[in-house]
This record gives sequence, structure tokens and C-alpha cells, in this order.
Amino acid sequence: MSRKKTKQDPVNIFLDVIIIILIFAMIPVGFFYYNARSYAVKPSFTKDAQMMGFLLGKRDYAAFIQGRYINSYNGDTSTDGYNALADYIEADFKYKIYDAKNFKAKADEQKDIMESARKQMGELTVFTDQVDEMMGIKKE
Amino acid sequence: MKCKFCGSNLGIEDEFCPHCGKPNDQFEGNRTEMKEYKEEFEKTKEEVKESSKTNSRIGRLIVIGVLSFIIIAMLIGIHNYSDFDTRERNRNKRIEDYVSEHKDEIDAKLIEFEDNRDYLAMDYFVLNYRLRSNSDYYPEYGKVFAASIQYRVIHDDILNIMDGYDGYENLKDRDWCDNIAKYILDYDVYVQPEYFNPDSTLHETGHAAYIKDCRMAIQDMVQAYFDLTYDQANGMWLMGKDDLCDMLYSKCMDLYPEEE
Repeated sequence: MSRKKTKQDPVNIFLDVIIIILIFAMIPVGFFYYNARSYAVKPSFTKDAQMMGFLLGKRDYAAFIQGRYINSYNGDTSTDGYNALADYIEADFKYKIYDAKNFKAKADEQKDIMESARKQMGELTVFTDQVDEMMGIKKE
Repeated sequence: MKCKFCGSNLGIEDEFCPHCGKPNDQFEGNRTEMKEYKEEFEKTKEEVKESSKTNSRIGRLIVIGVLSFIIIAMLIGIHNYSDFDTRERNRNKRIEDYVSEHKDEIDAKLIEFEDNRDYLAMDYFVLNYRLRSNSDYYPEYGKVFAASIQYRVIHDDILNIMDGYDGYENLKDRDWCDNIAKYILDYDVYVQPEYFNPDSTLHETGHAAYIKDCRMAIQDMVQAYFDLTYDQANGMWLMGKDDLCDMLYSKCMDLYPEEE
């Protein structure tokens, strides 16, 4: 049975074209919306792994330590390796003070923190020598 | 229908009987009726066609409306999320709500940091939850927060000197030393007087001891990292800003020479 080909309504064709254009327009708009929203709902001062890597590369240890604290307050565990390295730097910094002041118990406490952090930082341990050198800590 | 002359079967459109050839007297009536039916059918067909066309247009217009609404809503969202003031207002509101809802947890954390003399953790915690800017919360912690920030800034500046970081303003060691001197001397102007004030309510809590210990921690930090004697470190609180800056910078040049 042959079916007679019906002529399409030109208004409907026009509306279909608009629908297709709107669907394509939704893709970039949706993308920008998602990005803008993700940024807006993100807590201030948090730093993702990429940013932590960037700070480490720039040797901006102060901001690196800040990132570690803020990330942990916001439950962000994606930077755990970097967090361990930040703990190491902070403990190393305090160790030098306590060592200089001859506060042995406190210095040992920082040493323990450094050892514990070293075990958690994975391949980032390569940076500990650089940090020790910066702090003027002699290898035992 | 049968022929009234021969009784044969007649088609509804037969004008004459195909068997006896006599006229079918119902033919005219049938033909008119058929014509009416046909017209009625065509009319209904046209109506259905029109109605279907209208419905499909309405359907498409509804889809266009919904898509346009979503796009406009997302564009408004992008505008609002991208606007700094709106974003910060919303962010502040969220943080304020969080702090209100989790006040017990925040209280416990502040006590923990204060007891442990964890100055950095305290300052970043305050920064994260904007406890300094939301002065309705924790007004009694004002000096504790101020002490922590002094410690943290001096700590960060020392790190910046050691790691050679120049900051976004391309600061040099002399600038960091200048900032350290400023924060050291500000401590006794903005924080410490509360400790020496016997009427201060800080003495009723552990806050006074915290700000005293924080001052000592800053002194130890500066002494260790600038290789000062105890007397030099202890006397830095009474120095003028420029003299303190010069002393720190002279030590700095030997200990942490800047890379050109």
C-alpha cells in the first residue's frame, strides 16, 4: 500500500529549525552555567590538586599550607598527598623553632609529625629534601 | 438493496438494475446522500487536518517556550553567579547559615585550637568561616583572632623570605621584613594591651593566656629564623619600625641571600 507523501507545513519546519537552534544554544549556555555555578558554590580559598601543584611549583609554601587547612575544613580529600607535604613543611618550620629554643619534647613531636606525613605523601617525598634544605635542617 | 422489478441485488450507486435494466428510483436520493456524506467527510478531514496542524504548532511552540525559559534562566544564573558582589553575598549567606547551624561544632573547634595554641589552624579556621567579618559571632574572641592573624602573617612572611617567593607584587626580602616589623609592633598596639588591662574580661576566660603565649611564640619564631639572641628578640617589641626592619633585613641578607 503506497502512502501519499504529505507536504510539510512550512510554519512547522520553521519552528523545528528554531527548536534545533535552541537545543544547540543550550549546550554552551549549560556549560557556562555549570562552570559559573560550580565556582560560586565552591567555598572560598579552597585549592584543588592542580592549584596545590602550581603553588608547590612556585614554592609559595605559605599559600600551600593555607590550601591544606582550608581544604581540610571543607572536607576536600582530593589533595591528601599535598596535605601531607604541607603538614611536613609546617612541622619542619616549627621543628626549627623548638630545636633552636631547645624545647626537646616539642621538637620531637614535630619530628613525629614529619615522619608520619612523609609516609602519607607518596611520590611527593622528593620535595622533602628541598624543604629540609630551605629550613636548614641537617639530615641525621 | 434490491431491484423492485426483478429482485436482483443493486449497488448503492447503480442508476439502472444491471439485470433487468429498469431504473433504480432510489438512485437520486442515494446520490444526494452520498454527495452529502462525501462533503461531510471532506469537511471533517479538513478540520482534522487543520486541528492537527494547529496542535503540532502549539506543541512546537510549547517546546520552544520551555527551551527559551531554560536558556534565559541559565543566562540569569550565569549573570548572578559571575557578578562578584552577588556571588560574595550568597557565599557569605551560606557560610553564615552554616555557622549558625553548626555553632556547637565551631565552638568546640575554637576551644580545641585555643587549648592547643594552634595559631595557624585558628587563623585559617576563622578565615574559612569568616568569623572575623561576622562580628555578631564570637565577639569575645576578637583579640584571639587578631593574635592568630599576627602570628600567621609573620609566619607566612618568613616562609616567603626563605622560599624566595616574591608574591604577586614582586616583593623583595626587605618588603617582607618591613611587613614582619609592622605586624610585630602592631601586636603590642592592637592585641597585647588587653592582656595588661587587669579589668579586661579576657582574664575571665583562657583568651588572655592565649594572646600572651601567641606573643611569645612570635618572639621565638623571629628569634629562631633571624638568628637573634634572646635579648634581641625580647627587645624587638620596643624598637621603632624602621630599626626593627633594618635589624631583620641585615640578618636576612646573611641567612637567606636573595637570588638575582
